[in-house]
Amino acid sequence: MPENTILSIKHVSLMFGGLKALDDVNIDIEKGEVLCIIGPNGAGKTTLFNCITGFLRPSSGSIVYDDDAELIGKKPHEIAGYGIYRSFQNLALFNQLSVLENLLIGGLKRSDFSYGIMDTLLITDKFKKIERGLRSEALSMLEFVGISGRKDMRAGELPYGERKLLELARGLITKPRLLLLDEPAAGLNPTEKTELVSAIKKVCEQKINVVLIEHDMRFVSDIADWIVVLDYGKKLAEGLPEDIKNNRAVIEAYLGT
Amino acid sequence: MNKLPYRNVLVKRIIKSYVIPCLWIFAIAIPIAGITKAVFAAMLLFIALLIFNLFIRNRSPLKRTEHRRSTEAVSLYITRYGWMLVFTSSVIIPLFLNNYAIDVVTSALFYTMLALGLNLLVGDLGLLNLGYIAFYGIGAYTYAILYSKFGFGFWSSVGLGGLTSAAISLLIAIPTLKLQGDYLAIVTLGFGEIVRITLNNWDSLTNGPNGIMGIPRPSFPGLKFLSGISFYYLALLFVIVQIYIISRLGRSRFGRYAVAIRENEQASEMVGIDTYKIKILYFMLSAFFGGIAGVLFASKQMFVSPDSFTFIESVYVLAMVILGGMGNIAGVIAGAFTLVVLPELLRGFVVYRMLIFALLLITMMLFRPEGLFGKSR
Repeated sequence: MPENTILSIKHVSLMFGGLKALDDVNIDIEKGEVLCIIGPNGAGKTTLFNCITGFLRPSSGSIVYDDDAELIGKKPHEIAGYGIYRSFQNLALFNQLSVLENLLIGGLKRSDFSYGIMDTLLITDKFKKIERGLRSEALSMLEFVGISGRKDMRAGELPYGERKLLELARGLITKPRLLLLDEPAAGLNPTEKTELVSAIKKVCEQKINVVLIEHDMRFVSDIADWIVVLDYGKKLAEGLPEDIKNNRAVIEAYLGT
Repeated sequence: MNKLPYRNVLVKRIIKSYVIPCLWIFAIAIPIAGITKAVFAAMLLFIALLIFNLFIRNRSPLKRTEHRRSTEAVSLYITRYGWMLVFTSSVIIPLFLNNYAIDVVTSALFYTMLALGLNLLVGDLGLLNLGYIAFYGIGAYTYAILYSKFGFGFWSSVGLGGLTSAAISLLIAIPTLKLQGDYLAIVTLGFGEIVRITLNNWDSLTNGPNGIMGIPRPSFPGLKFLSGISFYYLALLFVIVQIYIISRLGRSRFGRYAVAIRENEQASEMVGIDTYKIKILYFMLSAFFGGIAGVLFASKQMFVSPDSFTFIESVYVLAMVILGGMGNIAGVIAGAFTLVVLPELLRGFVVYRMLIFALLLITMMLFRPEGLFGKSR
């Protein structure tokens, strides 16, 4: 196995009854690259994300993280503990809580923001210092994605594009090494898309590996280093963006024969 | 020109948040207490709601920032002084009460402890527990048995009562906390009944339906807590400690875990929260407080029997949490005191108790799902 893979998906299959949602999928995600997974509706892209993050359990195969940890069979929170964060297609925010609180929750599992129960009860200096640190980190994350002006609003009251940015910011505060984004640009208007692309590009500069599911080819070719095409649960093709655009099988899958 | 629709909204809001609650309490109070007292009750509620809505209730975050800042400052001020007022009156007023009234407020304190404990589950975590009174019973019986069989004193039993409750809650938490909503409610309901029936039938340990008598009051070097008022202050001390612990938890990362799970379990898992573990810990903490309240209750009554821990008591505690406002400490305390003190003030109430409960909860859920003093959500 090459040294520089962060996630290696080997022979992963998943059956829903008689339907093969994923059929012997092999993908190596290399460190430092932005990987895009594309494919028609129902191709198994989100299912693959669910398998990686432990929300679904593949029928067979293996998913190895960072050359040593097998992810299959682990619970979602354990997988998140490895530094893998995913966003959801239809967003999973704490809608009733403020934008800032959403980020504070995102920082809960950070070991450098941890303190004991006695620190809480006695309001020790450690407690105050860490809470202050967490707050300023949360604010800087909001600034990073450009929504710091919204910190006191409820997450559910934000416009759609900003909610996507918030989900991204909440992911960043967990200090992920691998970021899985499920159709981040879906439902966004062109301006919001541009904002999101620039945020994702900034994320990539921080040595965070990004895997995207996306439909919009223009968006994809803008940021992807490598593209994997799924169709009917199978890997149809993979390659550089230019190659994929001209790949006959891919065009057929999208346009029909 | 555009003023009219705005006015309509305003009128609707006033009707919804003032007129209906006041009419409602008036309608409930009238058959029991007569017109004068009913009017008085409605006026009291109106004033309470007015103060609450003007100053304390969270404003919509959409409002302009400066405006919000100023109201926040005012509400902080009111909250701080409100707590001081509640505290000083809870210390001073009992000095002027007769023994009967002191008994009532002491029992309100017990229910406050229970309601605050249950609120950790229902309000903070969003899990329904319909058998919460079982932990009260376990705490009470732990003290009774430890004293009668092994001669343990009150102070060692307080800790042990809480711990026994927490340990037994673990037995039920591990298999059931994977369940959600209605299923969890039914299992906890069953658990409550199992505990009561066990207490009723395990003659050799619990003396069956006759209960255990002769439990001593706590004593402290130089203090004996024999009079009602000294016991009241002891219970008050416990309540204050509990409020402190719970409010500290609520302002720290530990409270954040619970809120996250209540708001979105999937998202919580995704940021790395072990939701199952946190639920179990909260379940145990809630049982722990219930157990401690039980030990206090046993030493106050100097007698325990299974009759004190029936299903309806669980509902009663739940009603306090919902009436006052889930997830809000002040609201839960208000709910506990309302439901304990009000029936005593209006003695005839007891006959109607079940009817009133139903009415209370149904109307509350219809018109103020967030509770009388709940946060606006």
